[in-house]
This record gives sequence, C-alpha cells and structure tokens, in this order.
Amino acid sequence: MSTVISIENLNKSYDKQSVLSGLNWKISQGDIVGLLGKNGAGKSTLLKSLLNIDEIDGGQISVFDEAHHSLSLLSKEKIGYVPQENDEITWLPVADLIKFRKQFYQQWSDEKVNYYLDKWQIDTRKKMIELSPGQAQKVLIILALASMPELLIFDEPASALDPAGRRDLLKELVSLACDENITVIFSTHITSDLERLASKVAILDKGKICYFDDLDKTKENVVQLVMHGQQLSQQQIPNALRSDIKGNNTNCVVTKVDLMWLEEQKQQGVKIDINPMGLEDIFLEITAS
Amino acid sequence: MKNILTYGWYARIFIIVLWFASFWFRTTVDFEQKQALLVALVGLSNLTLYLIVAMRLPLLTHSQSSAVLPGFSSQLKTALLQILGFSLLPTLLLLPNIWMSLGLISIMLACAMLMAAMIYLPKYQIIFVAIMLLPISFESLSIVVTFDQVMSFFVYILPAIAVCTWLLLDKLVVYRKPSKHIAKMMLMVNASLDRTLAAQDHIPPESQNILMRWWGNLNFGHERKIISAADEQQQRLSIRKLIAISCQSSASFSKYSYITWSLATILVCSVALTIDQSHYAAFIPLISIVPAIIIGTASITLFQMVNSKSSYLARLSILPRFKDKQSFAKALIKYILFNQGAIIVFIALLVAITILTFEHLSWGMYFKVCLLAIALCLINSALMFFCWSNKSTGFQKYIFIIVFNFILFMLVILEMTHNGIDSVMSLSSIFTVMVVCAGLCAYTIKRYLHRFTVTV
Amino acid sequence: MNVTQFSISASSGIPIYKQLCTQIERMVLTNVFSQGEVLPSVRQVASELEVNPMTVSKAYGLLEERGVLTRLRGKGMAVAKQAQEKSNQERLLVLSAMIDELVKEATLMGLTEDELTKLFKEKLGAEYSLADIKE
Repeated sequence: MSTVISIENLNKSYDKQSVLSGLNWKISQGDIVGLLGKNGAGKSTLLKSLLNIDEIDGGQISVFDEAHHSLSLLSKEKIGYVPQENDEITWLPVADLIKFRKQFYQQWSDEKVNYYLDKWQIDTRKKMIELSPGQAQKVLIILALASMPELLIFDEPASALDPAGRRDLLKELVSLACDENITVIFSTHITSDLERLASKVAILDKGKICYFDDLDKTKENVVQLVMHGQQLSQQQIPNALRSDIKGNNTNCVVTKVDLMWLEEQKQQGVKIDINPMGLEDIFLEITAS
Repeated sequence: MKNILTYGWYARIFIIVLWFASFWFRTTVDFEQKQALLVALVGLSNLTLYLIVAMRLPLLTHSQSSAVLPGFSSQLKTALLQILGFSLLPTLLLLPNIWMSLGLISIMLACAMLMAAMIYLPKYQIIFVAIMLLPISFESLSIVVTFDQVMSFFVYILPAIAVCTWLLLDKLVVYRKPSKHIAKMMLMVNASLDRTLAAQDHIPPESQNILMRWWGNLNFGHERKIISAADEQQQRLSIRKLIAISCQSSASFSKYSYITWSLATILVCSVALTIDQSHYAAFIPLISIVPAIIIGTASITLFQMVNSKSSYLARLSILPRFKDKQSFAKALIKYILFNQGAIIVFIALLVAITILTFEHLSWGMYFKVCLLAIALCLINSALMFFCWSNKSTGFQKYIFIIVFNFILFMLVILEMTHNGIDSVMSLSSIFTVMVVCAGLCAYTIKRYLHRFTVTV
Repeated sequence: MNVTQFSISASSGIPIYKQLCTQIERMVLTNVFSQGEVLPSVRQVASELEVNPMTVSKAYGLLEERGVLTRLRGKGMAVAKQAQEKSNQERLLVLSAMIDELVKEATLMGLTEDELTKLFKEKLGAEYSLADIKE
C-alpha cells in the first residue's frame, strides 16, 4: 500500500492561536478516511493546510511523494477538493461554470461530468444560486471529480443539508467509493455518516491526530469493560482510558483488550463483561481523556 | 447600533463628500448667489443619510434582539436621535441664516419621516412621487412659489413637524409587523463590510428587480460568451482573464461601466455645448469630482471583491493551471495593475474630453491631474498588496485609508479647478509623490510575493 | 434475490462486517439461502444498506474463508456445499452460545435452576404448539 499523504510535525496557527501542533498522519492509497473532531478542532484547517490552500507555519507534508507546496502538474490533476461552503461563482449557469473550471485543468473527462449530471438530474441552465443546497453540493462534487482524481477530499460533506438530503448524498458517496476506487478523506462531526462510509477513522483533538485506525478494528478494540466485585483504578488496567468505581464494580474503557490480563482475571474468578461501543461513544471517550 | 444603521461605505463617502463640498462652498463662494445650491447640497447629504439609515432600520426593528432585549427600543431611539442630531449640525453650522437653518431642519425632519414610512410601507412611496411632480403641477397651474416662501412655510410648521417626528419615532422603535417587502430589504442590506458587494450576487433572481437583472445579465453575459467561445474553440483563456472572471460581480467596474460613464460624459458635454457658457460654472464641480469618484469606487470595489473571493481564489491557486502559488500571485498582481491602469487611461480620456468642452483646466493642470491619478492608483494598489501580504484577515483599516486618500485627491482636484493656478502643488512635488508611491507599490508587491516563497 | 433481508445498525458497537457475517450465516443455517444460491453482489448490498462496499466484501471474504460461501466465476458469491452439512453442528454451536448468555443472565438475576427450567419448558411448549397450528 503506497502512502498517498504523509504529514510530519505540522504546525499551524490562526490569528496567533495555535490550531494544529506537531501533527503526524499517514494515509495509504485506497483508504476511505473519516476525520472526526469537535467543532472548531481544526478539521477544515488541516485539510486546507495539506492541500496548500492555507500556508502552514511549520512541518512537512508530502502528497504523492512530493512536497505539498510544489506539486507537479500531474499530481495536481490527481487531487479533487470539495469545500464545505459553496463559494463558487453565483452568476454563472452550471454549464458555463463547468466550462470555466475546465480551463484550469489539462485532464478533464466530459463523459464523467455528463454521467453525473444525468444521474443526479442537475439542470445545467440554472445558476448555482438557483439550485438547492444539496444540488449545489453535488455540482461541487462533479467539479472535483471531472479531472479524474486519485485523491478526493471532502470538507464536511452534507453538513448544510437536512437529514433527507444528507442520506441521499451519503448514498451517492457510497456508490462513488464503489465506482471510483480512489483515496478519500472526509471530515465530519457526525459519527453516523462516518460509520457507513469510512474504512478508517482519525480523531483530531487538541491540535493532533490522537487516534487513527481501521474502523472495524476500532469498534473491536475500544470497548467497555465491567468488572464485577473488583475495584481497580485506571493505572491497574492496561490500556485504560478511564476507570469508574460504582459500588462493587469497576466500569472502564480500554483502547485494546489485553488478552493475557483478561485470562489472568478470569482465572482469579473475576467476572468481566465486554460491551462494545458505538463510534460516537468511542469518540467522546477518546477526546475526553 | 449607530454603526449598523450607517453602514455602507458608498453612502458614507457620498455624504462626507457633500459635506466637504458644502463647506467649500460656504467658505469660498458668495452666499447670496448660491444659497439655493448650498441648501440643496446640505439637504441632499442629509437625505442620503436618512435613506441609508431608513433602509437599515428593519434590520434592527425586525431582528430577534428587538423582541428579546429589554432596553432595545429605548437604545434604538437614542441612536436615531443621535444620528438625527448629528445630521442637523451641518445645517446649523453651514447655513448663515438662522431662518434658513430652521426651515431646512423642518424639511429634513419631514423627509426623514417620509423615508422611514416609505421603507416600511411601500404605499407611502406615492407621496414621494407626488412631491417630485409638485414643481411641474405648480408650473401648469401657474402657481408661483419662491424659495423664500417655501422656507418660511416650513419654518412655521416646524413645531408641528417636530412633534410628529417625536411621536413617529416612538412608534417606529416598537414596530414589528413583518412583510415580504421588508424581508427583501433586509436581504439586500444585511451584509458585513467585506460582503456588502458580494451580497448583491447572492440575491436570488426572483427577488431582484428588473434593473438589477438587466444589468446583471448584460455584465455577465459578456463573460459567459467569452467562456463559451473559448470552450468551443478549445482555446485557453489567459490567467489574467480567468482571475478577472473569478472576481467579477455585479458591482465590478466592467466593460459596460466604462460604456455608461463614457455615454454620461458625452451626454453632459453635448448638453453643455448647446447652452450658454456662463452656466458652465455649475457643471465644473461635478466634472471635477467625477474622476475621483471613478477611481475611488473602482479601487474600493476591486479590493472588496478580491477580499470577498479570497477563499475561492485560494482554492483556484492550487489547481493545475498555476505552476505554484507564486505564479498565481504574479497573475493576481498583473490583474490588479492592469485594472488600475485601464481606469487611469479611461480617466485621462474623460478629463480630456471635459477640458475640451468646458476649458476649466489648462493642459498643464491636466498633466498634473493625470500624474496625481496615477499616484493615487499606485498607493491604492500598494495598500491592497500590503493587506494581502499579511496573513491576517482585517480589511477594514485598509479600506478606511483608501477612502481617505480618495477624499484627499478629490479635495486637491477641487482646489485646483477652483483656483485655476498652480496653487496646490508644483510639478516637482507631484513627481516626488509619484515616485514615492511607485516605490511603495514595488515594495508591497515584493512583500506579497514573498509570502508564497517557501522556506524549507 | 431480495436484498432487504439484511439489516444492519451502523451505530452499533459491533462492526458492520461482523453483523453481516452473523446474519448471512444464520440465513444459511435456517435455509433462507439454499445451497448453491448466488448472493446479491457487493455493489447491490452496499447500495441497499448504504454502507462502504469494502465492508461488504470484507464480510463475504471472511465467510469464504470459513467455507460458508464460495466464489463462482462470473456470478459472484454463492452458498458453499459443505455449509449445509455442517449445519447441525453449527446450529448447536450457535444455540449453545445463546444458552450460555441466557444462563449467565439468569444467574445474575438470582433465578434458581428450577425456575429457569420451568420457564424454558413453558416457552418451548408455546412455541411448538404454535408451530403445529401453523402446519
């Protein structure tokens, strides 16, 4: 699996406030990564920094094995970005907007553009301002896909849509993932979107990526343990994020169950319940600690 | 609150300009001859102020805070009274005749009430139309009304008007009734400084009036043709053209703006050629400030548009068309300088045409005016590049300086046309100013480009 | 093949692929899918359930390893032959796990062996008589 993006020691501040500090991250080809973080954690900043839309203050970022600030033409063609806000030109009809955007690329697939325009039934005579938010978002996606990118970055897709619109867009993203076979990074604060779409989950907290792993593994590893008749502190439990003593029992959350320790406890006759946790709870636990 | 009510740089500039003009008039021109003009100038400035305040009032009366905050209405009333009082200061200070002052105050208060009424209940606009038609109806009915008679009338009804204003004000600050008309108004004016102009582009077409739609279609149709043609012929548009399209808005100084201003100038000159030369004096102040207004508004519009589109431009700068961010920055610089250059050439032509018609400036003076215009554009560009070379996002202070420069330029021009001799600046000092401005511009360009050089 | 028989909970603590595996296995055991029947394609399932297709193919892959499914050239994944033969053993294993849970829970609640057995017999009786009525 080749590395598509490699970030080392990234520092970025906004108005003298440090947003990202000493951030490290590696994304391999074919990953569909969900970037999770609280509002204001710096998800947009991170994505814009790695695309060089915003200049960074320190650190090294390489995309397709090239320094992110001096990408070759070929690499630039391979990147597609869908911003959170629709800041496109409002007075151009969609058809002209596409022609305009085409001017910025060497590689462009009219067939792909037409395929998606057809599939999503977008009236290309309308201006962006006349489309519904969901349709406008889809146009932005088409503009990003037209150059046949190998890396697609979405900043909070569907954040501006109502639940129905979001469901609809997610369905499209799922089939996109199926059709396109590309590396995708999308940021969101809605965990349920991530659970359906992502293969990997990254959590951004306090300026760093504090957690990054396969989604399925995450659900299998980060679990809640209930130990009956035992009162253990966090230090006594391996890989524990926290530990609460309630009555005779201990409730704790671990990032990975230490099987040897578990065996030991069972042999001592300790009854342990292992409860799986949903991603939302996992996120809250990890960011709380 | 006062800030919200008087928001809008164009109107503010216009009002300040008129106050300056009135002041200039008052101090330099013989009052007796020109009293009507002075009254008109002061009146017009106040009317503009009342208009923008009235347009922004719904934002406050219909905001959510108005229903929730306890002292809101009284605060609003205080703010309005302060603005009203402030607006009447020029009236009191500039008009030498107390009678005239009182009369004008009375007229102004009545106008303020009418403005507010018109904004909230469009049916009152009919009164405005009726007032406009009064002079014509008086003419046809052969009723002769002198300026003094009008003034006297208004002085006598001042107490009544003052009381009405007070009562209306009380009613206004608690007015909450919603309407589609008010909603549309709020959409138009509810924009921050950076987005004032950009907001116009975000009004859905159904809400735009016919004039706006026509102007929009005209302007953007040109751009759209260029894009379609380039696409059909598989041609690449120049980078400068691409940036120009990205920064285009309905408020931009476009090809059609040039055409409009040219036509307006030609019209005025044609009219001037048909009338007696003794009337020229009335035209000259207007002709003099036109170049300043064009440069000022074009520069401010350009700055605001690029700022409002900064996130979009940043997104475009990483696309394959640009080798790196430096080449994008260079393209933007070219766009700005080209834009400013075109305006200077245009101004030079316009002023030349007006000189040929009105002969209010010598050709030596004309040369000086052109040099000063170039200096103004250079310093404006320098300010813009300096702002963009800093990574912070505070644009306000730069706009303030650009406005200040523009007013200064206008005053200089007015002084030059009025005195007719090399009173203000010698050629050598103008050259010095130009060189300094050019130097600043070059420095800020370098600084701006440096922002994108990579320090590994 | 009606895909809507699958149902998953995306926000559950159990990974989606595991949920799918469990469901498909159960369906094979209870003869919802017959031997040699071709399952819906990865794309179909992913689209219907609105999940990442990689998740579906992971589930299918896992079941293939376990011998529950087999890949047919050009057609997709089908129920493997041996799956049916293993069925009885597998069924008992599944039920055994469920009974384990049941007994654990009962003990925690403090039920006695007699009470549990009585309850069990009641439920058995009800279920089998219902089955008789259906036939």
